[in-house]
Amino acid sequence: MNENQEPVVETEDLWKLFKLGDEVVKALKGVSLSVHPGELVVIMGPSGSGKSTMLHLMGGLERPTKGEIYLEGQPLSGLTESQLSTMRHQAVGFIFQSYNLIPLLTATENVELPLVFDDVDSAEVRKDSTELLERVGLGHRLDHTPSRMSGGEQQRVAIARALIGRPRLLLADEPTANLDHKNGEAIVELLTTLNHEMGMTTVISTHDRSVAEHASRVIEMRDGKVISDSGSGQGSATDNLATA
Amino acid sequence: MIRPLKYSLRMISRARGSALLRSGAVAVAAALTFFVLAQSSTVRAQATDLAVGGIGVDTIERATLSLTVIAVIVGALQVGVLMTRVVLQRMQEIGVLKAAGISSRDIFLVFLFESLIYGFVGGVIGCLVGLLIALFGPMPGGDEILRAFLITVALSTIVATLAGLAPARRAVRAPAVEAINHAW
Repeated sequence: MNENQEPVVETEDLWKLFKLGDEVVKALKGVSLSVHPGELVVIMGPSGSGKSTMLHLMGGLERPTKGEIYLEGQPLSGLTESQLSTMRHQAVGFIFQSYNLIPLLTATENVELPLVFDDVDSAEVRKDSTELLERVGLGHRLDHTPSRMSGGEQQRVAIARALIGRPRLLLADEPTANLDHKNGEAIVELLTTLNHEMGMTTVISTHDRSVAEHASRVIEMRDGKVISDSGSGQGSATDNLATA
Repeated sequence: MIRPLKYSLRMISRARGSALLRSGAVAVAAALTFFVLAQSSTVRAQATDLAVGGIGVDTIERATLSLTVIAVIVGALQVGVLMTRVVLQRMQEIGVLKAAGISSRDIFLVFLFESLIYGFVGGVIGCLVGLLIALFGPMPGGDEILRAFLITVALSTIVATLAGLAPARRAVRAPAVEAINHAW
């Protein structure tokens, strides 16, 4: 049933080449895939397999050397830098391996960062950010700066920050790589819960096989290519979406 | 305009110690400017009265002008260097802002406003320091002090803002992915 819905993101023969000195590195060699609404996709692969590049391209953070990306049906190649930026602002939430919180800002302020320059009611944003932090289990850490939080807690703040703009696509690039197993597990469980409860379309990249156990769909990458794809439309998350 | 300005003010107020040091760097140049400007008329008056060693009024004027120019150049270089460092230090933040789809204009303004604020605050501090120094010499009149104060603060703010243009542009031009992974 999922196949009938327009994909949140679709890629068509994506190539990405990088120049490293005199060498040309082929990070992606013709990747085509689509992610449908409500899916929780895990992209598995060792470092250098191209999974991070894939996430950057899907979220419009980088442009491909060749190929096309459709974000909610919109081809990204036709957009100017500022249109692409607006697209990210409205549709995409990013989570990074190293959390990337602003050290001088409190948890609440970090969560509100994506909306700080928008013409929005700050009291409403404050209410929303507080709710999100409570939701990720940090209701008691609202005024703490990152240096007073553990890695797991910092990543929870980063998740709340990615959600504040109500994105349609959540992209998590190696969100557990800097965490021990227990904290990593908790982060993946949180992302899974958010996917189930909010129907948030989520793509997680990882080299950790245990992360894949939570996914409705696992895509394996090696050397810039997809080597296996468990396929869409079978996960519990998508069933949930259908009944929602 | 108002939201980037509020963000700049928040980041500066949180940086506390280092923000004060940065203002201090600007204040040194501003103090020199203020002192020269405030004293110039006093010195000129004395020189005319005494006709010391045949020093002409325009010699003094020229000396005043060159000292001011030197102070302005020193101040501009200070701001350019320190804002470049601020931008590099905050590459990850810039990356996050870009990933979140914050417009280039807003990112540019955030850093430009910081330069402007350091110029303004440094200018005011510089004038106070310059006034302290002036206490040891012949005291200039109230009019001279006010005039020197206004010129110094205006000059310091304008020069700092201009010197902040290049670092702010650097912040905007940083590729998002590199900025996010930037290790300092």
